[in-house]
Amino acid sequence: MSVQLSVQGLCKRFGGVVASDDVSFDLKSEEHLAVIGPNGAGKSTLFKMIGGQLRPDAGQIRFDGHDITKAGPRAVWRSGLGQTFQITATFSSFTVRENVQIALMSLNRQTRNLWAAAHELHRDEAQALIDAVGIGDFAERSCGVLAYGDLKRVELAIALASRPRLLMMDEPTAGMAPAERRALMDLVTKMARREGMGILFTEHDMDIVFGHADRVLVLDQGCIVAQGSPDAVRADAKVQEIYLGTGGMADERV
Amino acid sequence: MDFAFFILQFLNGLASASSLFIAACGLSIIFGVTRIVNFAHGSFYMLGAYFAVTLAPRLMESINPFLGFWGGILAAAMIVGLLGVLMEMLLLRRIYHVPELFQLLATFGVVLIVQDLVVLIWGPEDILGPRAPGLKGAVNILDQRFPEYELFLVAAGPLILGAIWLLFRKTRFGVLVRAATEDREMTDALGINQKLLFTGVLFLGASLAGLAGALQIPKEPANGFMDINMIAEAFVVTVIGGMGSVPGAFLAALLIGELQAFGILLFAKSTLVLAFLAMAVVLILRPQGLLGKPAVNTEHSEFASSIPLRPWPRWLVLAWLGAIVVFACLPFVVDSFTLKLAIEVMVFALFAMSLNLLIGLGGVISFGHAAWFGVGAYAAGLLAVHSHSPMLLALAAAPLAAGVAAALVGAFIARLSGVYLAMLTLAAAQLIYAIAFQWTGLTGGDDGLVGAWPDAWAKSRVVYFYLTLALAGGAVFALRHIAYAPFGYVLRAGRDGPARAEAIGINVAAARWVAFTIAGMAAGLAGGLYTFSKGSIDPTVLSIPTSVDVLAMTLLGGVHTVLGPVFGAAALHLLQDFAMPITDHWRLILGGGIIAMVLAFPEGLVGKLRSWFMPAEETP
Ligand SMILES: Nc1ncnc2c1ncn2[C@@H]1O[C@H](COP(=O)(O)OP(=O)(O)OP(=O)(O)O)[C@@H](O)[C@H]1O
Ligand SMILES: [Mg+2]
Repeated sequence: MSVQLSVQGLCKRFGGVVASDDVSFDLKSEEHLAVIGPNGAGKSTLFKMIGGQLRPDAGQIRFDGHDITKAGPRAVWRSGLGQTFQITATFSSFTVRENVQIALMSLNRQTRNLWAAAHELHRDEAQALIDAVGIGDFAERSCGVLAYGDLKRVELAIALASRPRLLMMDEPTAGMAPAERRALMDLVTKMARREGMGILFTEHDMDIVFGHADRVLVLDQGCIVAQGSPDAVRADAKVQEIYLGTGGMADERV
Repeated sequence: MDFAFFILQFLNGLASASSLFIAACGLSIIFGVTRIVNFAHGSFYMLGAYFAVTLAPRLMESINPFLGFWGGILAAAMIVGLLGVLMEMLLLRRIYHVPELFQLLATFGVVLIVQDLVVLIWGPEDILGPRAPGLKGAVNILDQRFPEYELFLVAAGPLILGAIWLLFRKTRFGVLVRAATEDREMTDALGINQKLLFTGVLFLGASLAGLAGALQIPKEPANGFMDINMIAEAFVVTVIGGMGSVPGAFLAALLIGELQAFGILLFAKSTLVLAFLAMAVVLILRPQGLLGKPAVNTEHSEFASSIPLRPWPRWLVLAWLGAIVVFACLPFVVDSFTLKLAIEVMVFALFAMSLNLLIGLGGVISFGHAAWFGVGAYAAGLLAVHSHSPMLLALAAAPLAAGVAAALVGAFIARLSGVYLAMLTLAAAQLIYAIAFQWTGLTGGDDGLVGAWPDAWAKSRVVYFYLTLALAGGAVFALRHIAYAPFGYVLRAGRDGPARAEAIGINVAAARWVAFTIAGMAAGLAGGLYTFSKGSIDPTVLSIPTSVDVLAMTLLGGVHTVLGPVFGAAALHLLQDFAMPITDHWRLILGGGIIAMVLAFPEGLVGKLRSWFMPAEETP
């Protein structure tokens, strides 16, 4: 399989904190790769550099053969990379369906349209997407009044709207009940297999990680300390040490 | 330019830099800790001057001239400091967590109240102050005479800077102020100390402003324009220096002071233009100001709303149609005076709607929206008066000129956000105001332009009423339409979640720039219609009070409503029209009203009505 995302020697520091220290890895197309590590390990920083929200101090990021190291979030998105954030970001004054409709309008370059009735644009396609992530019944509800777990689903639907070739998710199931988490991740992975979409995600719930990733990458203090198949990583002595230090591998927070 | 002259001009620059620094640094300190841009800083400055001209002469008579003068200056600063404490305890405490726009407006409410109180207490006339004992003469510098008092001012700025430096390094209070300025979250962890810290900071900032005003009295009489004149310059200085940075404010004051001292030789009248250009250059090169910290990109706008824009129910459409028909019948039932009022209401309704495109949909706080209204008004007026163009041509030129001006200014401020943007829009408006005021040959200066009457076919007020109804009404509904179009959604997306919007390919800054231009055009059309309804135009249409009026209208109607500003404009304009002739204290009422509105129902009139009549959104 060909390499879809290639990260080489990424470095990022914030003042005295080294959030990313010479991080290199490849993600093959259609691969599902999980990044794990304790709080503050540098997972979100890594994702933000790939997504274009942060500019790395050094290193290179290539996506589908194109250098996107210096690309901003808009260009990264157009090149086929969808993204959800650790701190859920949706449009609070939009209905659930409109949150997806706006992504479709942007995809179809309708953002300067002063005339059409936005409420009607791409309605069916948006409805299909929110149905798929299980919040179809809330289509007309305002996002500002949704529960946290449902917001995570809205954000997922927004990210899926552009039919990305790689989906990057920072703690996609935080704030959900355990059964709900598994169901959602099953759904996303199934959808990804069907569409041939790669997945890059972080999770603190180890059941989710080991049940849904093809390969796991372990970060600690900005460095990659281990990588490999879920079983190999689970057995790795260094990884166990890191996690024992922070209260075990089932550590999870909202 | 010979050497002696150069040195003298340089010293002049240093003296005005000192005054500027003392006036502006308090604003920066207050912002650093409380994150509130205190409009009333100019009022503190003005009050300092008024207290000083009252106290100093009396103390000079009863004690002795030297102690009396300086005692009066210090006492004035202290009294103003205490007024700052009063404002913190009564008002600011209640608004630390409301959106920036409301904070700006509430402190502007204080400006209005103080303006009326000053007239009530000290009367409308300027009051001359005493000269400083011992510093009345002049010294010889390179065979040129230089006033001793100016020399004293040259030293005063660095002295104050040194005193603040000591305060910040050597006292616990100062250390807390610095820590709070560097790290906003820290202030929340302070607990009980936080209140004391904020109150103390207001005392410090306000007394510095008071001191600056008091030190002004040997040079200029205490007068009612000191507040507004000073606040625009203080904004420029704090923005150039970096919000929250005292040394930055000092550097910026030096820059502006010297620029004005030498610039006056080049452009005798428009030193404000130079200050503004300097600010533009600094902001393009260093958006956070000379010594400021880069603003943290907020992932969530304070102006985010959770109320979706629903398509109108049938009854609402019918109600609007009915209202328009009734309104269109006005000429058959009311007198000419009421018709004039109706025309003005339509003009302000469009003006307020145009502002709400920025604030309500975009979350962009424009504090100088009068600029575009004024550019439109002047464009129409100039064409009508100077080149006798047909009225329709002049009316077409109004939105074009305003749109071009708004696009130019918007090009470099649309990528900013929050208070920076608010202050820059205000500074841009003040710049345009200065041009209209000072370019007497073209604009008639203070007197303005007269004789911009409608063409013969539209002379009758009834015809002009229908013309306004067609143009302003059409534009209002076009703006409403935009809110429901993809572009309106894009603007709201940039407001609710800028990071999310960028991550789905939306260029938030570009959308804001387009909104700026459209809002400028709509305001310009309103301005053009206004000119022909009055037959004349003067610089007050460009002034800060006009900007604040339209903000109050928008707010009164409700920023998160679609047509609320129309009602806000009608309500406020009618109120103003009825109240102005019967009271001398309109500003007091307006200021108090704005503060009450911010505290009591920030969702506006229509927002309030909607929460009564429309079913609330239920939580699943
Ligand atoms: N904008 C920033 N400014 C300063 N320091 C930052 C910034 N963003 C992250 N850091 C620091 O960088 C380090 C890595 O943070 P990051 O958010 O990437 O961790 P994470 O692995 O995502 O943690 P978590 O599991 O808690 O989400 C932390 O020490 C954090 O404090
Ligand atoms: Mg994280």
